[in-house]
Parts: sequence; structure tokens; C-alpha cells
Amino acid sequence: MKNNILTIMKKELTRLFGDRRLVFSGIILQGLLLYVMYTLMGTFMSGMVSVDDDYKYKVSVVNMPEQISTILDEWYTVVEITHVQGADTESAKQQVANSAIDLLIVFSEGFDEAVTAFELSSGETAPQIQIWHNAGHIESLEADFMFKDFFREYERSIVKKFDVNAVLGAYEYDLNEGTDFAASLLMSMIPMMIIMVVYQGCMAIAPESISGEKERGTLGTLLATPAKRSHMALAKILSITVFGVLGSIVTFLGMMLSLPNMMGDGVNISFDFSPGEYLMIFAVTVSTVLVFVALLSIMSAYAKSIKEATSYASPFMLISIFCGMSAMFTGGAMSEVYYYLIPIFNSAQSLTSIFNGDISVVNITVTALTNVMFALIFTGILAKMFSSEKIVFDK
Amino acid sequence: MKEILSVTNLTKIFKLSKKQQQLRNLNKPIITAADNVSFTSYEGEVFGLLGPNGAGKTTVMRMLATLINPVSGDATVGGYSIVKEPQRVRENIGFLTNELKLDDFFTPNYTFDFFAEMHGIPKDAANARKKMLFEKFGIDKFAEVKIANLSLGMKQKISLVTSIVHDPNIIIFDEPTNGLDVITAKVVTNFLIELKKQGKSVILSTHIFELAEKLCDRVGIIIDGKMTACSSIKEMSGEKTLEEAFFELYYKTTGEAI
Repeated sequence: MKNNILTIMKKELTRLFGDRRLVFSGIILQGLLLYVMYTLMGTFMSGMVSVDDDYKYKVSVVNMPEQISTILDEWYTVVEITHVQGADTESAKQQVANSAIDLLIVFSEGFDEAVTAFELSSGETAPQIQIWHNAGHIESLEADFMFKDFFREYERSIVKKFDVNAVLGAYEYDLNEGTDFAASLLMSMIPMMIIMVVYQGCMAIAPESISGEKERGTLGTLLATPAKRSHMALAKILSITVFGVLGSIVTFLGMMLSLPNMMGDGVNISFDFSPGEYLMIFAVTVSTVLVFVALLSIMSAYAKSIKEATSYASPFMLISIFCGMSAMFTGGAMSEVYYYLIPIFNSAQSLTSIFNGDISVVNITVTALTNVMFALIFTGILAKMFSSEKIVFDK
Repeated sequence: MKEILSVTNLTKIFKLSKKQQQLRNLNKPIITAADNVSFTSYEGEVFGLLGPNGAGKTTVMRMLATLINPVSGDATVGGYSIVKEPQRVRENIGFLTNELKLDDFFTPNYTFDFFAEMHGIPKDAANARKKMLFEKFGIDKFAEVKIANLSLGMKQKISLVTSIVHDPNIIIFDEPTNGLDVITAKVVTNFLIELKKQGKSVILSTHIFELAEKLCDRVGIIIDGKMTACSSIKEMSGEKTLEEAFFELYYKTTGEAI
């Protein structure tokens, strides 16, 4: 009877993979949905928050000073300036509000002379530039940022006392090699996303495989065979794990492929892992699937129906998200080995360490072993549950 | 005669929820489904477990099939203890009950092969037995049709066939004709007669007296979880029919006239 584990696994996998609906909902759908959702979000958001490259900002100016006018003349390709009389200021404001123009800049009268004459120590009010914009309109916001930047620079050039980063080109002072801040932030979120995705994948299948069998009355038939309860529990868990791992891989791929679409061209994410690192990611992920599957199997065995099992499983989703997010709060992976004895939390920490390139082989090995050990304990509990009439026959 | 089944003080207590207590009109949170049940069955005989619905027959059968554990007591099936050697018991019995279903997703062919593998039957022997049983029960024409698409009668035949895939010497059938149409019920009855002729030991639970009279050598009557009487049909009924004898016993035990 030693082959009973394999026999049951073969049957379980034939059942799972033979059910097109289950394959679609358990393996393909989540990855596909994530890909479509993230890509659509990216397309939508980039359309919302960016201004076309050939857009010409419409700016109205009251009391344009001569010196500034000379500089702005060179901006004719990006800015279309309209000179407005002081009396028409209110109607120009209305135009900004209506998005007919992007910006209204009002200089105080005799601005150039007033700036030359102004002494900071005099205690008088400095000459004023007022910029009116419309924050609900992306072109107006962009123009506002651009002109505020320009005026700050202009002010510095007038009262120049020192330079900052003027020796080299501005970008040469950035010592970042490869990833930018947005990408780093995104990378820190990936462990959480993986844990979530893995849990969802397992949630799609474990209730079907165990509560579903209870509901259909087929679990008892299996229990009436000579198979050991522990073999049955292990075979069930391993089969669901195979399915769960595949589902997780597809969902993970969907997520990774869609991330560049979501973040746009500005974010540079690179995944140049070594084969060993990929192996570590795989080992951590598979051991995490094992823990989740074993835990969800217990819930599914306890539940009377698939629906009930799903309702038990949902609160644990929050715990998995919390564990996944833990690395974001701890500022990277913890180094102390005892943290890696806490299942799921250890998975998030280990994945973070791999993604940060701060790998501790000992901690990752402890993670995989701890998760496998917990999965075995849960398997033992499931085997015990298979011997309980309340679990098997209670409907 | 050689003892094939020996049941000694088998007891099973179930906890009841408040709702279950209300439904059963009970004040206690527990119910004794099997109360010190003892009986013996011998090699080659058909032993019938009779009793009204809810008397505890199914509980006893489930304990004998090692699907549930007794609170106290024990039984040896083919020499193996249901408490200490449940796996060996399951290897040696064929168990059939209406409550255990086959997976609708598979074909009869796949289902038979799966159960044969679970019992460790070599491929060739399993194929030969499958051919014989499928032809006998007319399953061969539907061997590759998903069980979901088969009639209830055909499903029951497949359940019957898969329960004896390993040609067991001890067969435990719990209400095997329940819910079946007359033709399928007749097929099952005939098969039980055939098993008896083959010298198999059969433990059968039923509430159909005609079936018991037709098949059983000896019967035990369970009322309210207790084995109230156990003897040969002749001894039990005397000059009366088995049904009349049962109701007389029922009245004596419960005080309720039917």
C-alpha cells in the first residue's frame, strides 16, 4: 500500500487538471486578471497624469518684466504667452478656472526696477509674482511647477552667493546604480504581492478539493479504502500544492509582466537573479504554498461546504497580507535567525532579503525547513480529522 | 463454525448541538447511537442487522468499516481489531453504503482502476476482474461515460462493483437496496445471493424484512442503539413472520404499539 500516496495524487491531479473550469479559475484566471488590470491601470493612469510631449502651455501674463520676457522668448516652442492688461486679470483667472488657458502670472508693476531696488534688510514687502493655476487640470499643474521652478532659479541667479552641484551635470551627482526610488518601493512590495498571490491561488483550490469531496460524499468512499489517513492527507496536500504552485507561477508572471505597463517608462525595474537565487525564490514559494495548502486543507475539512471553507479562509488572507507587509515596516529583512521560525512571516522576510540582494542562506534554509515542518504538523492534524466522524459525515 | 466477525460491547456516543437536541426532542447533549452492542457472525453466513431508521445500524456498520471509532468496545473482522488494526480491516472487507458516493467526474473504467490500485491489485488481475464484473452488471457499455451522465441505478451498480474490486471474503453492506428502483434492487439482491453461494461472509443492515428473510441466516435486531435480539431467522420468528416478530419485540422494548 506504499504507493497509495502516488495513486491518490495521480487521481487528485487528474481530477484537478481535468476540470477545465478549475484550471481556468485556479491557474490562469488570476494571472490573466492581474495582467489585464495592472496594464489597464497603467494605461489609464499614464493618460491621466502626463502631458503630451508636443503640448504648448497657454500662459497669460500681466506686467511682464523685460528681463524675464527676454528669457521666456526662448521658450516659444513650449509656451504660448499672451500679454494681458491689469484690468483683465479677473477674466484671465476665469479662463484658468475654465481650463481655457493653463496659467496666469501677475507681476507687480515695475517688477525689474523694484527687484533691483529691494533690500532684504529694509523690512519692506518684496516685489510679488502671483501664479494662478487650476489643480484639477494636469497641463495647468505642470505649467505651475515649471514656472515656479523657473522663478526660483531666476531669483537665485540675481542674488547669487553660492552654487549647488554646478561643477558636473545635475544627473551626475546621482550615485544610484540602476534602480530608482519608485522601483525600490515597488521591489519592497513584491514579497507582499507574492504572499498574497500564493494565498489566493491556494484558496481557489483547497476548498474545492476537500470541502468539495465532503459535499459530494466522495471523501468517505476514499476513507473506506485501506489507505492510511496520513497518506491520504499528505497526498491531498501535495496534489493541491502542485496545482497551487502552478497557479502562483502563472499569477506571478502575470504580475511581473504587467508591472512595467503599470508603472510606465519612468520606472526601471531589473530582475537579474542568478540561478541559485531563482532556486531560493522557488524553494521559499513552494514551502509557503505547502503551509497555506495544509492550513487551508484543515479549514476545508472542518467546513461543511466549499462556501463555508472560503468564508473561513478569507480572514487568514489579512494575516498573510500583514506578514507580507511586515518587511516593508522592518526596513528590510531581519537578520536574526529566530524570526525565520515563524511561518509565512519568514517567507516574506526571506523573499525581501533575496529581492534586496541581502541573502542569508541559513535564514532561507531555516525558512524552507520551518514551513515544511509546519506543513507536516498540519498534515498530521488533517489526518486526525479524517478519522473523525464529525468531520467526515457532518453535513 | 469459524467466527468471522466478533463484536464485543461496541459503544458509540455522539455529541448533539442545541438544534439537534431540539429536533430529537432530547434534553441531554449526547446520544448513545450504539449501546454495548455485541454479536457474532460466522464464516459463509449472511448476518442481517435489522432495526428502524435511527436505531444505530449505520453507526455499527460504520464502526465495523473503521470509518468511525467506537467510544468503547471492540470488534474483530476477519481476525483484525477495528480499533487496533483499522487498515488491515479495510483491506479485508468490501463496504457499501448509499452515503458514500463515487466521483462524478471520472468514468467507471477509471474509477475501478483507481480502487484496484488502492487495494494493491496487480494490473492484469484487476483488468480480468473488471471485465468479469462490468459484463455481469452491464457496465461495460458505459465504461467510458462519465459517472455524472449515468442513471442512479447504474451508479449504484458501479459503487457495488468498486466495493468488491479486491474480491473480499467479508462484505459489509449498509442498506444496499435503499433508494433503488425495483430492477436495480433485484440485481443487488441476486448478487448478494450469489456471494452467499460463493461462501462469502456478508453483514447486511436493512429495514426491509422480506430482504432479510430471503437472504439472512441469522439476524440481530437493534432498537435504540441496543442489540435487543440475535438469533437465526427461524428462532426469531417462530410461527410468525419476521416482521410480526419484530413489531412484537419493538413493543416489548419501547412500549410503543405500531
